[in-house]
Amino acid sequence: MNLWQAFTQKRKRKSQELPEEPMPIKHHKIEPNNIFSYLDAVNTIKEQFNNEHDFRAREIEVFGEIPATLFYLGSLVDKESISKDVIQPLLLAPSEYIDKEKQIENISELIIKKCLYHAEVQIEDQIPSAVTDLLRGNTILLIEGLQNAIIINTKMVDKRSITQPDTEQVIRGPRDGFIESLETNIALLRDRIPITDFKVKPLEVGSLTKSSVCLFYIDGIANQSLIKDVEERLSKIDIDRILDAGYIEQFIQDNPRSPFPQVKNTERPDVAAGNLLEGRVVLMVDGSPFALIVPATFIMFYQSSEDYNERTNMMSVIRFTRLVSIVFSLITPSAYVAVISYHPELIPTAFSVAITSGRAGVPFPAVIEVFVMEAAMEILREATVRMPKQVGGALSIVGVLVVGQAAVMAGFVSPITVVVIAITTIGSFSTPAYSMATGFRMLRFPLLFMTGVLGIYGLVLGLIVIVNHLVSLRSFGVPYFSPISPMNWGGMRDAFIRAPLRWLIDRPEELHVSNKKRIENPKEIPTTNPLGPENQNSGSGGKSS
Amino acid sequence: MKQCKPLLLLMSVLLLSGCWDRMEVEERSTVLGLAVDIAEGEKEDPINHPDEIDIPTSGIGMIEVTAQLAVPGQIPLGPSQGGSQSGPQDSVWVVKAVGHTLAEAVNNLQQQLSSTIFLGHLKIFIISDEVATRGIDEIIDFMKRNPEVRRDAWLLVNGERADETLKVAPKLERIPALYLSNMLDNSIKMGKLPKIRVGMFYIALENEGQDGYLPYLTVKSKENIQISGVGYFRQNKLVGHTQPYQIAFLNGLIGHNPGGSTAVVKLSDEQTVQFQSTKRKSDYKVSLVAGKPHFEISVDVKGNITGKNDHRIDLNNTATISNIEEIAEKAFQKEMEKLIEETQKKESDILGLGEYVRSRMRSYWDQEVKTKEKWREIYKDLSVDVKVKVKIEGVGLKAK
Amino acid sequence: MREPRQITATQTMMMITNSMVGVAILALPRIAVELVNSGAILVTFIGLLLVFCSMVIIAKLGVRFPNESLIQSSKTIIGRPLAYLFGFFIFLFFILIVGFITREFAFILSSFLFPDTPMTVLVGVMLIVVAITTRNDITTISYIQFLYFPFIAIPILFLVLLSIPEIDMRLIRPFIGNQTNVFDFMKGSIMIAALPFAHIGMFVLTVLIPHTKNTKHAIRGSILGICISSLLLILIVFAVLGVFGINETKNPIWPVYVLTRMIQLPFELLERLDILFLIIWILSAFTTILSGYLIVIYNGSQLFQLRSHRVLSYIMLPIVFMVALYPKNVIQLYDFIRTIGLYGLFITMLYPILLLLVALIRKKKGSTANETM
Repeated sequence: MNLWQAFTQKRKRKSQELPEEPMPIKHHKIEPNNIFSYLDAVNTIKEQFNNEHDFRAREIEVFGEIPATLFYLGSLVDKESISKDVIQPLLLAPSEYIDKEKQIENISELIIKKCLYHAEVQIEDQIPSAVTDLLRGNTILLIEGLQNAIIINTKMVDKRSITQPDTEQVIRGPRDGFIESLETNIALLRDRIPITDFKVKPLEVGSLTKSSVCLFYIDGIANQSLIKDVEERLSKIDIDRILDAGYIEQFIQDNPRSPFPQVKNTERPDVAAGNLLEGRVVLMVDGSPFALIVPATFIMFYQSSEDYNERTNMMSVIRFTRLVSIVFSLITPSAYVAVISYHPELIPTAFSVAITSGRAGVPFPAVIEVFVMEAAMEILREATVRMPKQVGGALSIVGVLVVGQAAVMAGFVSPITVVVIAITTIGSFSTPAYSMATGFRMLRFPLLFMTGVLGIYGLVLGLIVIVNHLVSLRSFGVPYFSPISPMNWGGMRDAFIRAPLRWLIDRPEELHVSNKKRIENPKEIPTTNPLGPENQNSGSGGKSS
Repeated sequence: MKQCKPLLLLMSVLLLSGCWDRMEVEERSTVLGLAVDIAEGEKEDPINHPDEIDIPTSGIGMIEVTAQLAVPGQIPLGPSQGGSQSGPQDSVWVVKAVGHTLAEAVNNLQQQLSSTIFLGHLKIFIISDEVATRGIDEIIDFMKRNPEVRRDAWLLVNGERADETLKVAPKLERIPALYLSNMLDNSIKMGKLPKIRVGMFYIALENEGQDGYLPYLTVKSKENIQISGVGYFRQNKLVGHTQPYQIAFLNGLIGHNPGGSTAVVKLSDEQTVQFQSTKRKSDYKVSLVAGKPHFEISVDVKGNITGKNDHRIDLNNTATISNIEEIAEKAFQKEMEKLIEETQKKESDILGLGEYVRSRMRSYWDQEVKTKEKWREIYKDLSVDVKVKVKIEGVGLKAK
Repeated sequence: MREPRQITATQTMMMITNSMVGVAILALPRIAVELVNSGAILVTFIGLLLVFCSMVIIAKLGVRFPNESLIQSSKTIIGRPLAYLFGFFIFLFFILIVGFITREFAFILSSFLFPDTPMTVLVGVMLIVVAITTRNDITTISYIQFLYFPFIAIPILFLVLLSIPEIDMRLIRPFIGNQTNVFDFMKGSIMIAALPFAHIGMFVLTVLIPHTKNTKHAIRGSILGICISSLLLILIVFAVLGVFGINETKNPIWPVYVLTRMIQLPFELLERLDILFLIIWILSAFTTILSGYLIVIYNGSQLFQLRSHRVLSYIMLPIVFMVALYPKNVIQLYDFIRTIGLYGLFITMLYPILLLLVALIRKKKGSTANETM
């Protein structure tokens, strides 16, 4: 047993000294398969919920004769729907009903098919699953003499209204965004892809939160082995809670240690729909407005849905600007340090001599200065995100004044450093995807360290390590840097520039889709001049000239 | 990427021991200009070697080096805040040191300074006429060996003492050394000076059939420097310098573009016009005549007339223009041949005629010439014919 | 070799070009000019022609045994003991070569930019980054090299373009040099073919061929690779010779670097471009050392019959490190490179010819069963 093993063993023992897991939650372990009588069943359920604040047990008499009880959780249900669509029709006997004893066996069928107005009704014969349904907002109807319960879906929880997501704003494009309710989200997607091939597969993940997860894909396009693999990875998730789609992302991603995200998340339905049509798979969790898109490549994080809504030329330039700005935000502080501390001959002489005047009184070497300023900027950024809006405005003023101006005047930093930091920060804001921006933000610091020690050699080597890592990453088997690294000229049309829509007729090659072309032979759009002079009749009024 | 953690740790440990080459820009003494003179009879402090030992001096004697350093803090970033206008004298600092060799002198200079000497921004390197005449081998060696010295610096020869140049401080410029280097760079752009920065000078020096030349300066007053011609070398010794007006003809022979030199053409005893070239082209033809190389250089000059001294000269007339052209051609040809003869007397092949012979007449060179020394002998008596063609393209805005 | 075969012709080409346009390019003009002065361009051309022939032979050999590496196929051709012996020589030779070019590069950095940084650090950091990169499988490594190719090739073309205004045509002629004879050319071209980049460029093919998509890709890629890299090298020699002339090219140890110090952008945007070009040299050194190191550990893993080349990634690191630190100074380093390079020619040029001849005579062929798209 070597040193390393001894060390880890010691650590393991320590964790074992912690107290045991807290007592497991008290479930009434209701055995399935026991046939309870009506009263026993009612009492079991009442005991289970035992005076909870929102538990209701409403007793009625079906058709005026048969005793029955309705159970529901008042916080989760639409009470109006219960009264109008469930209780009211049950109180009046339909014409087919004659006598209690004769028709007790098929009374459930009678009720479901001929009485209840409600749209979603099911039959359940195991109490545990009935209780689970109750916890999901369903109403349980137990009727004396019946061996099963009738489950009615009356869930209504207050939902957020559909607004443009804060994290992905566009100037031109649809302004709806996913919300927490899975039903609404499915609606937003189905609305955009009303074809039969669009499949919505349900799954359940999370032992305690029992979150419903839906897998979306388009049957004739997405690759079958991809779908199977995603399902498998989801089924292997072993955790008690899924509180956000991000939890799932961390389980299904290929390389958890990489700073770069391998799963794209978005709050916009048009982004999700677009990726579905390319052959990707989308995952959504009930309770989270973020949709996960797999497999993800580097370029995807630099595309915004607005790119496709606007015209080609402008958007190509803007896309290019985005990429340039992210490169700047990564290397500007390091380049500054490299030039100032190691290679001042790179700057023109007059400027270099003037820079020394700016730096003459500064106590720290350039590396430390930039490090401190960058760290301050990061702290400021985090603070701005968490602050409530009222205080946030004041904070930015404080940030600018104190950190920028006063520090320069106090001789703590040189003015050029402040400019460099400003460029870097602004550059990092231009990334549409937050998870990617964070990755690059964090990478700035190791790069700064390497540059601080070895000048431009360190900078280049650091960049080499980062680039190599990017190229070697894979997301569900797709190389992260396609279409650049395994070169694919067709894919480049949508990478650095945005080619006109008429040219984007192939689906991305790296996804190995079943149906490569979007349209078989796109028709040419002829140019016509309906209001031009040549199309005017000669005798149509004296106005035409 | 999965198991590279221990290796990255190792790398961090390696690097944490220190950033060895980090030297902040304000910690360096930026030397903007260096001047080298002969220091007769001066003795230097025993900084590098004991006093008693008789160290042989360099081939040219004891060397005195003067450096112009930029003073950090005096030169403001951006437009100067109103009020404190620090004059040019305050923004630079001039230091001297003496040594047996140039490298030693520079080292002795370091003793007087608080920060490390940084030659990366060295723009001008001035040597005195005396130093250049005695031989510049050592200076060139120093400049080439030092990794910081760049090849776009200027090596200049000053007619008198070199350190005078560094004392010149024109009012309009913040940094005097930049004044000089900007002036020289600008002259190239204006077409008044051939491209003879240090890089090209090294090449000319090393080539088998060529000799180098450098700008020759004169200090006019406390605030101005004048480019007074070109100093030409034979191997590594200065052997003469031209007059200022001859630079124009040198430019013509080389075919340096854009053109920009002016020449005054004398039409008669009372009338002159001023001609400024805009484009030059030169063509060299070499052939063997009676076992010896014979050169025919044809120079095409295009230019404008920028001034006349007599209103009687009628520039609206094609006959006048052709007349002027003819006179100019004869005058230029005479001057160019005179220039070549001057260099031939001193055995300094600044046009690189030897290179033409070497490259185009391989067998002749391999058999007859072989070495640089032999070429110089042949060069002395080389027959060169110059033919000039002048074309006047414009006369300015005035019609007459 | 359980990795999928995915490398295409383009990737092969780029990997070979990257490997050849490495550190030696900085010193190449000086070596070319040494014996034949202005015949440098011609001698470079002849030297590269030799490399081309050798590469074609290696390609043909690899294509004959498409699923096996060189060492495995040599076992079939000349029997196990001899194959192991030569394989060991190859292994040893490339360890030396990789160590020496890393040291050469570290010298360049140290002379121009980092005089105070200890050599250990300069060499060590590069080797560590290379070792980490070789942990990936070969397909990924070829993707990586693919990515760097435009960053190396295009700036070199740019450099040549920017030097054109400074080129003096007199300095390039006569094409066959003054006072030279045929023997000078022969010696010169062999010296060029003995430079490390040539060895690495040729042998990286042995690593790639078992992984290319099919033989067509392999051959096409290798021919394209050597053509493009030869073009770049000849252009560089042309540019340096044209600007500097004979003696001035012989003077500095690394004339190409000095060239980058001389040229200027036409609009004086950035005054000093040599730092920017330094980034390019670092990239090209990295790709060359990566290829070299890959050859070492790949052949090593074949020799010792290991499952994959990754095992040796870190083990070879200290050995190469020590080799790199062995020479005392630049002069000694270049002496070593010259001597060992010349001996290495036996391994990289003659050995494959031998193998191919024996294979043809004994009619040995590799299994073509797996030769699918």
